[in-house]
Amino acid sequence: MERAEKAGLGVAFVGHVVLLAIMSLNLMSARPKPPLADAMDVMLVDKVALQSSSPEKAVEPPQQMEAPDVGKPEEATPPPEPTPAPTPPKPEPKPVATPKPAPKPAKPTPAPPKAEAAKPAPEKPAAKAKPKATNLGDDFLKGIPASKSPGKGAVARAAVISPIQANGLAALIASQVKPCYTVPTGGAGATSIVTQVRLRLKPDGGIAVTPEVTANAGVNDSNAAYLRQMNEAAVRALQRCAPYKLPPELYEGGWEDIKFNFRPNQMN
Amino acid sequence: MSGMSIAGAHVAATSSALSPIALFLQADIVVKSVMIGLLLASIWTWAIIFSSGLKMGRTLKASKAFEAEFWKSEDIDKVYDGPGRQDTPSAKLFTAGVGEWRRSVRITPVDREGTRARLATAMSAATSAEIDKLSDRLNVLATIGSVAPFVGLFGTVWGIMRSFTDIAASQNTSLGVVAPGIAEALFATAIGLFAAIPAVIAYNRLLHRVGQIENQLHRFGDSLHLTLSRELERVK
Repeated sequence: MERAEKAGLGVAFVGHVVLLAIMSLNLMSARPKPPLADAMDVMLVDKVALQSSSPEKAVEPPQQMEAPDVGKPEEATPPPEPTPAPTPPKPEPKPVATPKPAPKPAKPTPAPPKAEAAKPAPEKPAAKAKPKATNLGDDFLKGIPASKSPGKGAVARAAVISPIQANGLAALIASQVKPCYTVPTGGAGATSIVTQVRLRLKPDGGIAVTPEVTANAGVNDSNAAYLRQMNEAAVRALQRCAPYKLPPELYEGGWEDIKFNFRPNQMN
Repeated sequence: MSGMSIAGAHVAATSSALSPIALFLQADIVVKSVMIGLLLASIWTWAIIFSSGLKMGRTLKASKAFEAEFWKSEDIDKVYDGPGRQDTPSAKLFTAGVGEWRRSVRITPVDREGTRARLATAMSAATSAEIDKLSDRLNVLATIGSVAPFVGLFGTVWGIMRSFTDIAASQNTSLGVVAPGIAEALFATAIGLFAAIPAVIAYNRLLHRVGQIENQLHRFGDSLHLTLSRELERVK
């Protein structure tokens, strides 16, 4: 080996060591690490919505609109504007003057708040129609119903329960049925039979009508013999575990009549 | 039934362990030996690149300097005894030619045709000896350039085979089980290419320079031959 080759070998060796050191010493791992993926919730939904529905079924009817219907513009605009202008100054001091002196001497402090809180001004004076200080017409109260509606719900009432909640109901029922269910002795694959049961429940969670089997899934040649046995076991378990504790606000249109998929595989 | 969590945590954790040394230490013995072999090949390649590159540059410069000196000088004998002793291809060629000329001229009567033929043979022999010396290590580069990728590929195939065996053994096909094995296996191919690419480039480049030096030597030899045969006419 010549001297030049020895020198070349030394240079090459040192170069490789340096390269290896650079690669090992964090120049490679200096790139930003990918952020850890957030764990996400996966929901297995076995129902598909064919109708759109609000996510939460509101119990109360929606709040009623309070804005009054404005009358025809022809009536409202021309007469009120010119006539009230001169008159207001006269009636205004009167109502103000009369109520104030009366309550004041009787009760010094609590009286004014009451007079203000009661605020009879819009209703009573409007009925009398004497002090026409505002542009509001006689039909001002037309939109307000006589009896106050109990509706407070901000969400429109949905006619149909959403599939997500229906699935949640199914899970609730499944968890409550579980203790009542004993797997019937059957051959291999018997537990893969899924029994769809139509449950009609009373508002207290009890069974209203005997559950009926509406469909089956997972039936094949090897487990067809156990079909009846599995169906009966499912119905029996559902009857035995009644009444069910289910959210009452979802009763109507929800679990009063629900189709429940009974999966023996998930009952152990 | 309602909620499951899918965590990507353990997959991301392995990416930090991809430093070359960690990959090497995790590897199977076969893959390890492949990697070591390829790393040595890479070192050897670069040693050849440095030494041959330097040598050729120096040779070319020295030969040109010698030729310039030769054409400037009046007396061939002075050149023969002075700079002709250098260890450059041009000087070797010159020494071979002039030595053959002196030996042939000593025989009387001078056989001019025979002397010309002997001069040409002596000089071309000296040229090819010098070229051989220069291109000595190039075959190593050619071999590394063509074989290293295959060796690396062998390491990769072996490593992937092993990681598949691991999958079969652990009955788990998650990325966490497969990824380290495949990464370390691919690292073998990476080293193979790392050794092969410079080797191929250097081989082509050095071959080109050897060709340059050879052409230059031939040109110098031809003009030297012309000069010597002209001188031969004066010999009685």
